[in-house]
Amino acid sequence: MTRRPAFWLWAATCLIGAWIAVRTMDAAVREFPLGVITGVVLLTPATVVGVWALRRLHPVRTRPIGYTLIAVAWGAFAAFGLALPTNAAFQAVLGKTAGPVFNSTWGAAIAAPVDEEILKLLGVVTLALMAPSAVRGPLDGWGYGALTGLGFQIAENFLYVLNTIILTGGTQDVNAALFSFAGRVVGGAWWSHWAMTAIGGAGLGCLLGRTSRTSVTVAAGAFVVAMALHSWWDAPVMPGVLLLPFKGAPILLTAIIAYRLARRRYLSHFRRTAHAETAAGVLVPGESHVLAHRKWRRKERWDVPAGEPRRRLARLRAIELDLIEDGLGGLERDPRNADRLRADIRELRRELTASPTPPRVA
Amino acid sequence: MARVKWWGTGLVALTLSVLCAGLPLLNEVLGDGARPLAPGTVVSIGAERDGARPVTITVRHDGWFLDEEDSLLSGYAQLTRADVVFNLSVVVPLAPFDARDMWQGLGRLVAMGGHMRLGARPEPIETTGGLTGLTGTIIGPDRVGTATVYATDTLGATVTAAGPPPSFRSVAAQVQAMARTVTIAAPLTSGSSDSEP
Repeated sequence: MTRRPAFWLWAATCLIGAWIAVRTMDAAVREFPLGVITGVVLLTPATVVGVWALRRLHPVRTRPIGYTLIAVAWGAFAAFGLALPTNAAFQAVLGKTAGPVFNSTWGAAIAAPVDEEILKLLGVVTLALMAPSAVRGPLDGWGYGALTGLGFQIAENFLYVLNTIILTGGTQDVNAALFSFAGRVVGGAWWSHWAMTAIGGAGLGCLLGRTSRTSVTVAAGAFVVAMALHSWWDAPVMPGVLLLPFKGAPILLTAIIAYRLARRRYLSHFRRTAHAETAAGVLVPGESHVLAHRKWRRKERWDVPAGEPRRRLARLRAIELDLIEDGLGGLERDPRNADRLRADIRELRRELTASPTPPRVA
Repeated sequence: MARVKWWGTGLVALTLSVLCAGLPLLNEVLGDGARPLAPGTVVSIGAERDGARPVTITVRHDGWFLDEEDSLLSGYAQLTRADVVFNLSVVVPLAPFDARDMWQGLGRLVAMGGHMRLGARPEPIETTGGLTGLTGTIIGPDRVGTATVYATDTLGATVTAAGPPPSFRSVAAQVQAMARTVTIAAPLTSGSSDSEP
């Protein structure tokens, strides 16, 4: 991965973004340590749960931790850090051209969707350029889009802890951290950045999976929908805490619909490919059912002696899943990859069958 | 799909450059965004409810400008005159507070910049509308100024003004006069800008 230029772009952009974010927040962090500690204590478990949940939101396999962290880091450092001066500049432009009253009312609803959705979605593009096998279709785009958005959301939640302390005039640090957590995590996390970028990411995943006129249209449409939903959330309509669920519901609903569509497409490909590979003798009958469920894959390992045989079985399953997903598409797809994976599967199966206690489905 | 390793990365870098350099550049091209304020102009800040913002200040003298770049009327406004910068901010309490709490909080906010601090002994001040608060000095290595805080049960307002000593001394009376025009209206129940994702 480090041999690909996108990796270095990712690393440099994350560093620059982190540097901007630290410079922006450093003085407040030093001045309000109690509020900051309270915020960190509250936000850390929410972050862990969010990353865990989005990583596992896949019908067949959990997303690799490496790619997960790459996406989260882009959102939290690169996208968030760069969004700070970019949003400020955009809003200043609006203030100077449309007036301060217009800017105060509509500035956030215009500037943030454009800047932030572009910056977050570039994280999915960068990941696909770093590791082409990571984004092969709408489901991958949805997942890594959601994780990038979550990274952004985490960093922004921390910024809002500081903003709320400042809004209270520096008089109530802990209350401000609690208030900010209640508003942005308990009440607002369900339809925030993760959902918007998941929608844009699903469209982008279509495009990265296979380039066609339809996929370009889907990607552009999903991106516009993500920006429109972001704008809707920031717009000064339906104000008040009680109306927030009604305001957030369209965002969450669209993200769920995008996930269901992407999942259906993935599973349809999964079944079709598994059937074809079974017919070709690469998979044995019944194996595709085991492959389709994390629980069954985990359970079958219990019947295999610990150590090398168990590792071999896990590797066999991983390669079989790679073979099935290889047909989904992606950037720089190698047409010889499937044959290599099939050869690996045969070799591993031969080794497993030769072991003293061969697994049933092998 | 064709090999995109280099041009794809270049495209991402180009998009980042256009967005993150283009907008600040456009902002620079548009100038400082200083809007002149005629005497008698009322500047309102805070969350808008029924077309009105709760905290206001009235400009009393000629020569003041609203800095459109550094003002977000939902939370704060920045006025300038030569080298003197005048800030008005709304403060939303989450628990009951008074002017002394606000003065201490403002001290921390001013110290955040690292160059200035509030004077130790604030004095009582009363606006033309009867609102009471505290006022005192701001001291820094090359800037001087004044700070004022007003607290009500539901909302507060802070006023800070500072500049190089000669410039500030020439407008100190105007600053003090403007600080006495602060009004705080209707109660506010939630944060003004905290609903943005």
